[in-house]
Amino acid sequence: MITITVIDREGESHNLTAPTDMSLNLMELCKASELPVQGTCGGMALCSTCHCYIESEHVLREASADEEDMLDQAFFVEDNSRLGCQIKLEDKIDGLVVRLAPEAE
Amino acid sequence: MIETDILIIGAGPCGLFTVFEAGLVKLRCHLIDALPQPGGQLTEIYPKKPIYDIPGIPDILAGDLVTDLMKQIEPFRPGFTLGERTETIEKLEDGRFKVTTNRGTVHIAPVIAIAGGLGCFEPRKPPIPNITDFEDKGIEYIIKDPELYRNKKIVIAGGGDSALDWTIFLADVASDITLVHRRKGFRGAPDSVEKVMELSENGRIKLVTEAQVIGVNGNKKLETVVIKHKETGEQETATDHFIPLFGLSPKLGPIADWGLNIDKNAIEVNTFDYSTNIEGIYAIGDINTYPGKLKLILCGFHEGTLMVQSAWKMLNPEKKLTLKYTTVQGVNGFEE
Repeated sequence: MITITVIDREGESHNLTAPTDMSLNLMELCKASELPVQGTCGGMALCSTCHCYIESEHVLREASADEEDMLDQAFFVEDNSRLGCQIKLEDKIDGLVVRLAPEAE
Repeated sequence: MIETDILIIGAGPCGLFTVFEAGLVKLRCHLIDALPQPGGQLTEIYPKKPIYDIPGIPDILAGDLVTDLMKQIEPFRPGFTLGERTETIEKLEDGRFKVTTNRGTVHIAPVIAIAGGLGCFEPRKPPIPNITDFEDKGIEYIIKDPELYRNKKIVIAGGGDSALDWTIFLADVASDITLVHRRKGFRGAPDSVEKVMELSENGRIKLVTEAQVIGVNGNKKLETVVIKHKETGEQETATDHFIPLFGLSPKLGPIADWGLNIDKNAIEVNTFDYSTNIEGIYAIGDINTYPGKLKLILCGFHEGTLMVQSAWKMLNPEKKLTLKYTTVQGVNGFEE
């Protein structure tokens, strides 16, 4: 199990624990935890409703071309922007802190 | 005016397969879709992605699945109203529904099946508070007539293929083009990226990267946009047009105002037959919700199948329907 902190759009922190052996991603964890993340496209990096900012020092896998493409079409994009659905829940991201990006659609 | 038995709103995989199941019980279908081609998300967003969970088909490209579905329903001669968005619904005195599109096409049917998936695809609008004030007054999200930009100053925002392609095309039309993109690099087709770089080096276009358009100003019509650069900060630029090209995103659209029970952008249904709170209107596929709902194509096929049985019973209250297997009967299409 790992712990991830998600800061919602009101600034409130949620400490979520998640298994790493179920090939879940961060978008799915947020949805399962009833956080306001739509995940419209189901995790194919085809919408930006799970757009978030990485607030901790973790080094994640580089964004794929698909993810960069989608971020090009998203709004409020910063250098630490990622799509939650492309962040796999794995041991090396234990302690990750992310902030949900503003809704923009 | 188009009359049919089941009017299907949404020509994605679920809507298409419903034509087949309806045809087996001799009900005719007509489909409406806001996109110009059938297939919904599968053709519009991910035609080249493989799908692995269609029973009996180990893998198939999304676009090929749509081609096969179209072939499968061909004997039942469905009608299509494509490139038009469903706007209004009204109940007629004879109990049937009258559905009108944004272009005024009228459809009449006793049964409506909403198979709208994620909703209709609409252009993504940048989150600039007063952007709606200048829509069609200098701001366009879709380029309908390139001649509108002849000898005009324009600002295009975006980094995908459509932003690149239109920049290249309009370089010969507009008097002045600025392309604004949030990153230094572009992910579009390499040819287009090269062409845009060339136009920029030759001074034919202004390329502003690591920047975003954050404000729009004007009086009655658009006069300036505010471009915020990562390092150099904000700058106000005079322009006649601003064209944000950030792709499409799905919206439930006018269906949200039809009086259906809606929960989190999805239509609530009874899992007995996928009927909504309005008799004669069903919702199937990704657009519906119920306890345990899974947004899977195969679940949409199941929902469409059961929905058709219920519709048949509603239309033929005196008769009894027995399930006939295609292995026994084959597929008997409609003559015309």
